Amino acid sequence: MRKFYTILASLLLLPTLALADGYPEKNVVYQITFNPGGGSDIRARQQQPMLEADLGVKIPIQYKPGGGGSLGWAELVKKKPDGYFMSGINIPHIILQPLARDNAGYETEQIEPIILFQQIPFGLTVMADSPFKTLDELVSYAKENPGAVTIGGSGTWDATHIAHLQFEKMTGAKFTYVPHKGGKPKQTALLGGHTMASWFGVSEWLPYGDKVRNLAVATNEPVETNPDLPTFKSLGYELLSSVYHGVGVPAGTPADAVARLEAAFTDIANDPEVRARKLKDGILPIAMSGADAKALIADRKEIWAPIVEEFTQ
Amino acid sequence: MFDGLLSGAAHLAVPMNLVFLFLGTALGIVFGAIPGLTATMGLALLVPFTFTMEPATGLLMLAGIYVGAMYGDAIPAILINTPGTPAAIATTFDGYPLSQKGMAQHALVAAAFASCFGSVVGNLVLAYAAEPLAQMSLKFGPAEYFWLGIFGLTIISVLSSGSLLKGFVTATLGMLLSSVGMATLSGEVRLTFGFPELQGGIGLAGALIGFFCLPEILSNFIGKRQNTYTGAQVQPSLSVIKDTLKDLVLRPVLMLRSSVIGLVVGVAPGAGGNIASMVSYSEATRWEKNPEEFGKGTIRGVAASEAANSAMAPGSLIPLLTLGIPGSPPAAVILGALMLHGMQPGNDLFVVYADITYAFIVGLLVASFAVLLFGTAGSFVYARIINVPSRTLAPLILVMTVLGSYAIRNNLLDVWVMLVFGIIGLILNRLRFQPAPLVLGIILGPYIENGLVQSMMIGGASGSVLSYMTLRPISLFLIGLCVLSAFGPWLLSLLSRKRMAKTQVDGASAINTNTISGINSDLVMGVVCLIVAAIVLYSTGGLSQYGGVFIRFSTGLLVLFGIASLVRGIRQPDKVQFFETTAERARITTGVVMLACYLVLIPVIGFVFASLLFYLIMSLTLKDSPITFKSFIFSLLQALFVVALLYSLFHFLLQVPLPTSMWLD
Repeated sequence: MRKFYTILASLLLLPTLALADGYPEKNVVYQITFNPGGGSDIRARQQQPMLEADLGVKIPIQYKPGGGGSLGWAELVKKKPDGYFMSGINIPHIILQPLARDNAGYETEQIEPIILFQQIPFGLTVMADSPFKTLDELVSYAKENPGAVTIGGSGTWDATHIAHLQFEKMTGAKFTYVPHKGGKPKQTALLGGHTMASWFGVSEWLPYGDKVRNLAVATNEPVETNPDLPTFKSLGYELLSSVYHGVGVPAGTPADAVARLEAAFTDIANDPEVRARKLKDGILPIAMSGADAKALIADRKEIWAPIVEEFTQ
Repeated sequence: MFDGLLSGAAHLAVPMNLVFLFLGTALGIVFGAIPGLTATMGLALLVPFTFTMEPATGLLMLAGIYVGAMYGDAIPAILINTPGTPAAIATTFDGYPLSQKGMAQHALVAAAFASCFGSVVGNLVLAYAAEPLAQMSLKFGPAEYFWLGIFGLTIISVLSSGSLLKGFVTATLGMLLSSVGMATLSGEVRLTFGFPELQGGIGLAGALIGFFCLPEILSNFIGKRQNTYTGAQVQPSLSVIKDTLKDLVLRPVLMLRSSVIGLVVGVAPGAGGNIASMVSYSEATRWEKNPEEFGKGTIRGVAASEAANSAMAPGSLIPLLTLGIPGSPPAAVILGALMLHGMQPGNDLFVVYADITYAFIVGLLVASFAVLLFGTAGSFVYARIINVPSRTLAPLILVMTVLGSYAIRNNLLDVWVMLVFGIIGLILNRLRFQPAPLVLGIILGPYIENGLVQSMMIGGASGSVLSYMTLRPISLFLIGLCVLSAFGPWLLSLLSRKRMAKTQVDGASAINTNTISGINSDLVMGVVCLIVAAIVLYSTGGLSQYGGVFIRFSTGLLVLFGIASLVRGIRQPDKVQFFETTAERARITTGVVMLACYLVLIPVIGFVFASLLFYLIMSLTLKDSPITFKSFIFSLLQALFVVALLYSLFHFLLQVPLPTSMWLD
């Protein structure tokens, strides 16, 4: 019986393959794995009109929030890989969730990245009146008083959490990690003095200007918006931490559909106006191809797997 | 400051801006009024349209949506006992009883006026005192949120008219329901019982519809075959508007108190309108004269709730515009829209972009009056909705409940959860338990849990969790409020013990004469609590300290209240008749089976065909006379019309996804 369905399905699919030149022929659903109105949603709605103009079809946006995004990604990999269903993807989420949870509902490799269109590097931030003037002061205080320094993050098994675990391992110091329900509550907690330091993205600290002080940023080179801010690397810690936003389809999607979507998104990512607006907000505009994204994912997975394993033991 | 307001007002002199503001307000009312659609979603859907507009025009439209939605949610709350958004739960307490008395228009007008009033108060404060209030909002930390949640729970003493114990039992069950799914902070998955889709937790829309709307329909339309939603027909008239407005204008204390409560809750980041209106309602019952009228249908109850949730909206914009911290989920979307137009919150907003920012604030003010206009004028139309015969209205509402619980999260399991909650809600009603404390538990659970867990982490780092949680000014204040709120009624009763003793005797004799045989409701609930507690403890054994502390806390309370219920059930039996007649039992069972079949059919033949079939059969079932060819055609045409209307509204206009089928896509 199953064989019958397979044959039937392939028969039904044949015309679509034959007409592959004409992709897309119908609406392409753009799934958001977080709540309506969140950062991912706003970004997608910004791209929506440009995508519709380029692809010539409607791009309905559909929400599937829950489980820190995992419900939506589990939904994505269940979809028919025909190029008519794509979803916003976040790195490190799609790497860490399957590593840390046996109930994530998907494997990282089941998602085919199309493009990563922006990157937000993270760093350690304190309030301007904090006694910690440098990263060294923070680390040495924490070494003398294990667990007394509270550091805020956006959640569990997200970019800030894994950066925190890596940093603790590198320094050998013990901090108290305080997860929050997303980026905004984390910022409020630092501003209100409820946490002593916090993992902030560049775009998160910029609006606060002189009210906050950054101790270090986890990139290879200093960031454009804060040229004098030292990198963790320059201070002796091999820490790289960024969140990447992009789009993916179920693995096995026809190559021509992937290429068409990649071209459309790359055009948007390279749009001078889009780039300028991102730079101003502290977001690095990138246009990382699907192939490069795959390499990045494989690389990060290798670094993070042992850390996750150690922590979840 | 005043110059700013003036230059902002200048933007509103542009006719196009005014048109979009009114359009936004009307759309906001629609989004608020449809259960399952929220202000947040309405704002998110409209954000792309604002790209192509001037920043001022775009923001004015968003202002309209936000203000409109804060009123719109009162309409279904009043008419069909279903809060359009969680913020309108407290509106149902008096709004629905009013509507059952044939006074739906009174309630609708009261809601419109109170929304306008609350919104105006909030906006004036936003315009003149944003900065100092914003600094205060930052003082709210984990410990404060924990106590705010606990304070919220003490409102139960007001919500559960009759038995305090019954209220606490259901609230504790609600708290446990809130912990289903992935823990916000520790990321552990709990109590999903093998359904991966439950990782996202219990959907609030499904809970609201399930607990408030379905039991009414199952009981009144399907069980009792009531011909219309209310016994009394509504006769809208101008004099109702006049009387209602006059009545409320003469109650400045009530209106101001409710608005200030809403404003303060709005300023605290993260706490939304649902808490604001509950707190305001309970304070109204505490301070107003003749508190016994509350819950039986007084426009004061409607006004208290609506003024608060409308004042919450500008309140939540205070930390947003000054610090970039959204006080509520819809405020977060507005933040996104501001940033898309290149405006960073903070000083820039009041210096560089001052005229646009003030245009937005003035826009909120004007939208408040637009709400009053739409609300009073519209009350003639809305109020008549409940005069529609039930064989037309009930199937329509049932189809809408499916859409509403599905829409936000695109999840068919949410619809099933809604149905199960509807059945549980009906059982609870029959056992004389109220749904409101349960939903309150679901809403407050996350505040209490996150506050507790973060307090344990931060307090642990500082040396003592206990002193961290208690020895802070706002915490101490909130603890004081909790104590007053929990023990206040008890102290008052000590003072007037004589009077209380008398009423208790009356009450006791009433119970004895009315129900000699029947189900012992407290005994049944006690057993259920202990079984639930055992299941929860068994299935959450492996959780970490932080992932499990709240569940253990709630389960402990459940065991305590469960045993208390058992004892009370044995010593003072409260016996209830579950079904009045066997015919009623048969009808309700059939109704539930039909709904279940509908849900099974949706993924098979698609939403459109399943809804057509369901509407047709339900409409014919609710007809008392035998089915003739003519009545069949009539129902069929109705079904076609309703489904076509809903489909075009949701699919084309609002672009909300509908459940799809596996074959007909």
